[in-house]
Amino acid sequence: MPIEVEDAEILSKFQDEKTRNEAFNILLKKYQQKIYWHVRRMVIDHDDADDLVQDVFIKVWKNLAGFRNDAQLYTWMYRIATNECITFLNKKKQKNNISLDDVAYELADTLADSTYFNGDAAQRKLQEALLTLPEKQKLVFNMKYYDDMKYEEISQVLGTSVGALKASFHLAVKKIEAHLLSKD
Amino acid sequence: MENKDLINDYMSLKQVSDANPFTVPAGYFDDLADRIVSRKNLDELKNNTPSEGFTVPENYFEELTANIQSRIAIENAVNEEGMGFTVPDGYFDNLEQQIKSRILVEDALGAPVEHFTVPQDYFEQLNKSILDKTVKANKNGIIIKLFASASFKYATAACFALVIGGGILLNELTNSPVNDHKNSFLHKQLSSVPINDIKSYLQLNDDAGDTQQTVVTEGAPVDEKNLKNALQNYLDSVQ
Repeated sequence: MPIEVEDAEILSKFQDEKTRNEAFNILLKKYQQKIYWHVRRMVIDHDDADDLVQDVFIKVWKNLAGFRNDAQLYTWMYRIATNECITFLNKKKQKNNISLDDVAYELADTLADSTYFNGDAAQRKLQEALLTLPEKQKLVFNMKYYDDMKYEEISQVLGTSVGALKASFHLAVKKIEAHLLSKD
Repeated sequence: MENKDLINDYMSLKQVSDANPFTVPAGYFDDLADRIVSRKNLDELKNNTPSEGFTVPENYFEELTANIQSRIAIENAVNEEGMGFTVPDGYFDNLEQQIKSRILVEDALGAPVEHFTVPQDYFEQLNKSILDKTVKANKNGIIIKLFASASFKYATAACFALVIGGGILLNELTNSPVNDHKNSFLHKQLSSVPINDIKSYLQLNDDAGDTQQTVVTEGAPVDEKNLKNALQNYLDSVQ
């Protein structure tokens, strides 16, 4: 069960060297699952997600002292996690010398072979449809559809205006629908 | 909520369950925080000790490039040294056949034989003649050794043999058990003991085995026929 400690209290404890580790532990317990699922939906594979989640929190630890409170703590962490996912997917593309579409095909294969997926056929189709979306559209859809975040919060994460996010979400939904219908 | 209202317009999407289809290994989130903290601590340790505790000599990295390049140049030069020597064209192609041919020829000819000869006993005399002409050469004249001849040596040996043999023979002829006894340690020790003491000792400690010797020593005549009576008479006389 996530620990319900206010972000302000966590930040306050973190500023004090004596309580910094305690604050970080609280932060971990509170946000680890949110960050994990955000990353997992992007990279599909559990092991990749595990590595990235650790990278995200290491960066949080290193940079939390400089957090300026101009955004919410969890949107700031979401931003770090999103950047890590995009960097990971770009590296995958460069490493294998393949296009972003091919990366999507690879992720689709990973999804098909994954032992940590117990969705039904419809859910599998939905995930396959998501993999066909551009990365930012997929992020918008995931944060809206699964995390139920507000456009303003997504705007802080992606650095995109609310209007553009709305348009992006609409487009994403249409593409997914078309994909679902075409598979039928 | 605006999110879900939008979805309502898309029936296919709406029919898909919004439950999370992804799963994680059992207990994954139970220790995720601890693992992240451990990794964070390791990361800090690495950052705080960039050299990982190891040190290098001063200016090591500044000189490393030049050192590596020098070593490469040296190794290239060493490898090229052997290229200064050359061999005739086709040398290695024929070498094996040449070696085999030579082996066959030498086997056919047999062991190598020296064709030069020297006079008989030449080498036995060579050393002596060199010494005679160099180290032993004497300008004042020829020195002849007085006792160098073999005859003299044989005569000397014969004299020694006669002396030694004569001594042994003389010793054999003059030796007798009596003389042996006189020269023995026992005789010498007993000579210093008074004869009366010896008699007393014998009388006190003799037994049947000693009787004949005691009687012989005393000089008493022995009547063999009446030996028993004679012995009794003798014992009665000495008591």
